Amino acid sequence: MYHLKFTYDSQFHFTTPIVGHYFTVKAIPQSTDRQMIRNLSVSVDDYEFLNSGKDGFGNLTKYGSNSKEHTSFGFHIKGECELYEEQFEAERNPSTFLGIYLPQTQVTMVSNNMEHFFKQCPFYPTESNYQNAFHIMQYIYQAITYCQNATNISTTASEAFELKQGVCQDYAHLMISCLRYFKIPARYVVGMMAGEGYSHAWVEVYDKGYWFGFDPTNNQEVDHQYIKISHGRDYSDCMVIKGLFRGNALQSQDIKVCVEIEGQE
Amino acid sequence: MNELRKQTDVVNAQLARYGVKFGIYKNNEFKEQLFPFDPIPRMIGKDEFEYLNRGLIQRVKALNCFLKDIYSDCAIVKDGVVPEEFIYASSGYLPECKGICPPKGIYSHISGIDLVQSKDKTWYVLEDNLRVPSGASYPMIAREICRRSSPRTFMEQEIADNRDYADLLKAVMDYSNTGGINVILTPGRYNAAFFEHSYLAEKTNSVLAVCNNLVVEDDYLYYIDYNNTKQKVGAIYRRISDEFLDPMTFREDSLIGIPHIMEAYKKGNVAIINALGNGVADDKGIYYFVPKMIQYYLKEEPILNNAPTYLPFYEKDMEYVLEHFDDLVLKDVAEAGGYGVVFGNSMTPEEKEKLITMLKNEPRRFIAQEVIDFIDIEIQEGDEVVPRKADLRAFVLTKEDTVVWKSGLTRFSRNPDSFIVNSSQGGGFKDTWVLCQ
Repeated sequence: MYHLKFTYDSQFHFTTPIVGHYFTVKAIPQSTDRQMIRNLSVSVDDYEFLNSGKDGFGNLTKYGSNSKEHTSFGFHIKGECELYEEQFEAERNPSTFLGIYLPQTQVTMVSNNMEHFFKQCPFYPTESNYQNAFHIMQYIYQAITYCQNATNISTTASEAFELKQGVCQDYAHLMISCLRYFKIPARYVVGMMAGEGYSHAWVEVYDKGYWFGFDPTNNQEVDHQYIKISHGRDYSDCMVIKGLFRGNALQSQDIKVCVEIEGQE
Repeated sequence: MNELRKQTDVVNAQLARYGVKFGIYKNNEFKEQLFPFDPIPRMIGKDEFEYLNRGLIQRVKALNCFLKDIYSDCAIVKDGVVPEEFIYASSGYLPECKGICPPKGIYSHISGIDLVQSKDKTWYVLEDNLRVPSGASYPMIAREICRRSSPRTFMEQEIADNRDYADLLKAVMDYSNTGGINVILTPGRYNAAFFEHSYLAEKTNSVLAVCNNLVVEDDYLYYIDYNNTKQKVGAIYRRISDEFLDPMTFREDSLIGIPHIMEAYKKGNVAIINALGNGVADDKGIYYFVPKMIQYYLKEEPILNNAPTYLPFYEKDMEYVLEHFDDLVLKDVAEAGGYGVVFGNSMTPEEKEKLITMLKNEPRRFIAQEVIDFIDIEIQEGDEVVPRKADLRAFVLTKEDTVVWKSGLTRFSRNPDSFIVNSSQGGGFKDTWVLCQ
């Protein structure tokens, strides 16, 4: 078992005061089969109303609003995480919730060029989804190059595929697209990875009652360096922060994510 | 009756005066049209209505069971009655609604079931509308005006009074209400059915609101009036579609929704009428399975018929569809309002070939139906009476029990060669009389 410590801080600045601000934060990890979250603390700055909830996928949310004038907003999440040796998550309702991870979404839609590319992917119908996911991950890993500024948050799998460049979100979308092309249920995951920087995104693949994590950006299976936050059909179900406000303001955002591995038992 | 016919212009002028209009967006332009009223009522006999009544109640009960099941256990999928592709690939299915139980467990409070009658007098259900079916206000106000302009007609005929719709609707809102006022949410003046929203609000004694009047605070929905006084909302009859209702959950570019209303709804603090996610049950593909739902949930045989329907998704049906292409009508399950409907025999060979390719590539996207030869009903055109095709939208309301409104919206096609009666395609409407004997 591994012990990790994490902090997730995000701060927004608005150049002029804004009003009518609504927000939903989806950056709160929860205990699952593979991780145990302890001493969790979630705080939000500059709110008028604040509540907790869950979305349709079971992800935890903190949401609220502020109708008064303000120029900043932030949230801070910290806690400890214990990661077990077994790195998979059981699906308790395979027949009721699996089907939504099979159809492509707007973002993962397969273009003609992608289809041509997927057709040459090493896929073996006799092997398990888990084994095939390895082949697919390697295949996707080689298809694009990691590049910070080539894509943005709304880039689709097919756009990233044409650019042959992208970040973790693009790798994950492409891999999901390919898995679903081969009728393997796959979901998008947002989480944190050991080290410091931003949040990370990867993929979970369903096989015989369990979800297995694959990180196509790093071409490796998800292990003790990964803390999961949320999952959904694609990035739009897992947006860490969503907000609406009124005001003629420009906004800037600072994100600081830090995960330290404290030790192993 | 002849007297009523003489009053056509008077009635239409009154309807225009009350603003009984229907807005259409075409090429990005908003055009408002009067909804032409025809004075010759459609009459449904007592026994015939009794039959429809039983069939409609049964159908809506099963559809409500289906929605409850789909957003909880999905037993109907587990038991192999409905293939999962038809649920999850449907744009009406909202995973955001998984696990939410709406107040009193009702999903479709107001259901608009579209029926047609064939030449052999058999009734067929053409479509279920479980999201925000519109149209009840038109026969309501038309009846009101007809009674005034031709009182004798109504003294001489034994007709079920349809002016109770507002009471039924109010009872539906009150039953699901979680404590607070009833509100009707309209997108605003430029919505196609704005007349209806304002009319129903007035008649049900509800507050007509636009999104700016409503706010969510601490998981409760409030109405803020002109005085800045806040009142808790217990039931909201929203006349906007799911994807625009909450910009924090669905389309973030929606300017007509209420941020975080989903959260208040999830916590059971407000009833949303109709519930969210109902689109999965009135999908044209799911339509095929409604008779099976009735057998599955109610253990009864369906009383009302579906139009004979084929799902190219099943190989056997695909073969049939390709073989009998010219005799069938094909419908794109993603389209509504009379769009995406084509008759096999009216296509050019190129169009046909194109559609068959699409059909083979995406079999789930289409259904095919036998063309039903609708009965003609009489409409007045100038001084003449001419036969035209018409359908009937029955309104079925669910509170503790399920009831059918003793009237309905009869829409007809003004074009003698057309089967498409949708108001968005320029059709007119008539009153529907349910006779007492």
